[in-house]
Amino acid sequence: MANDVDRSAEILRRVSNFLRSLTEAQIDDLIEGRVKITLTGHPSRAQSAKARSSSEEDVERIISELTGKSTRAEGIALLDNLGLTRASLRDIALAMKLPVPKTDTVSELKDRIVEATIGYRLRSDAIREPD
Amino acid sequence: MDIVAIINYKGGVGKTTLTANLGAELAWRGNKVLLLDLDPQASLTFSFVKPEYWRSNLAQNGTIKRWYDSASEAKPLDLASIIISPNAVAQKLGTKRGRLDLVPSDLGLINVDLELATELGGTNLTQAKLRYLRVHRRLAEELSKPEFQDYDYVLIDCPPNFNIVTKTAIVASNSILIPAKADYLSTLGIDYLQRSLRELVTDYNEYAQLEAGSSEDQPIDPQIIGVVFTMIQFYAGEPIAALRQYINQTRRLGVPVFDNYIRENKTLFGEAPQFGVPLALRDTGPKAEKIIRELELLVSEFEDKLEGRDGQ
Repeated sequence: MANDVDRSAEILRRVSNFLRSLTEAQIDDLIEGRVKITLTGHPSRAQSAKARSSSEEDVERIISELTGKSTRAEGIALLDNLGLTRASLRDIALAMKLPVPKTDTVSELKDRIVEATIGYRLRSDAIREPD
Repeated sequence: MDIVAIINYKGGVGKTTLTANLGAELAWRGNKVLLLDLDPQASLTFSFVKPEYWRSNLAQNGTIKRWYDSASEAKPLDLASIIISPNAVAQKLGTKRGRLDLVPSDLGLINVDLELATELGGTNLTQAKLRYLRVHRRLAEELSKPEFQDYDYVLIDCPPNFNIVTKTAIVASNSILIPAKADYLSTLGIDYLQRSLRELVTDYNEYAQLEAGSSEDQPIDPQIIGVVFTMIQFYAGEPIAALRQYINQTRRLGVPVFDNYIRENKTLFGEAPQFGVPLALRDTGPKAEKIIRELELLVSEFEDKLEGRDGQ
């Protein structure tokens, strides 16, 4: 119980410090509901896991979208438009169990991903189809 | 009798290693197996007989080339007359196992295609189609003779092309087995092979309708029983990522793929031919045990797949 009291006191102290740092106008906005207090900073481990899982959903969605494309150019355009970082592209490639050399550039990563989702179908069709 | 053509458009994919070990393990399991070497490189032949023995005893009159060449002679050679039972393997199999026989190849086999091509053509379309059937059916007719009916398996090691000799093998086969390295160019070879197969089957069956009502007008329907990926490197029990991507892509394209692989091991697979006995039958100590076990699993999967096809 004493522990809970200590924790509550600590939270109140921080909120009090935060409120003291605000201007009169900001206090008014807070009271009137025009702004709200949010929690920011480093997430806990549990929150990190949650964030990762939503990121996995993103990866799956991107792979699914790429698989539906019919040309390599469409695939590259999709990845370009998403403005993915090198780390995100690596996540996608790893989710697809592709080899990801550390030396791969962003462009090479995109090519690798597009080849494994779209390119393999195109080259197979090109050869299998009669002249 | 199952007649299986083993082929890939791409060379250097471990075709001979697969054919030799598959045949040897099937024989070890009590089957009567005939290996037919149609590849002019003769690698399968030289996996079982020494080149000097081949030169002295087989090259003149005992190879598949001689059989093809004799077709235009008044008394063509019987294919059964040039079957040999390679000594080293026969000793290994003893009397309580099966049998492994071989029809040897010839480095000059590549020229046979030119000869066969001269037999094609004709003064009109119907004649050309009938000649096409006669040439392409040559091996199938020979293998339907009584001398071959005692074999459980005929495995045909095809060259990495789709020339006439290869087509005679496909026409004779009821199944196709595709060895492939898990890389970009080898998997393109699978696509090319599928296309060529489809074209051959379509042409042949269309022409065969000209003979409707004859005993030989059965359409051909060779089925791809699967791709065996060879020279696989493993990490943590799985093919490494660089190879896995091509294996997965082949599966996603709807091509049947074997669950078992042939592992990369230049030492063990590379030296087996000089002893005349495939690795599957060699006593090479604990190092080879794991690889031999993998070969056994592969052969069991091969038998299962053929059984599945036969049961259809």
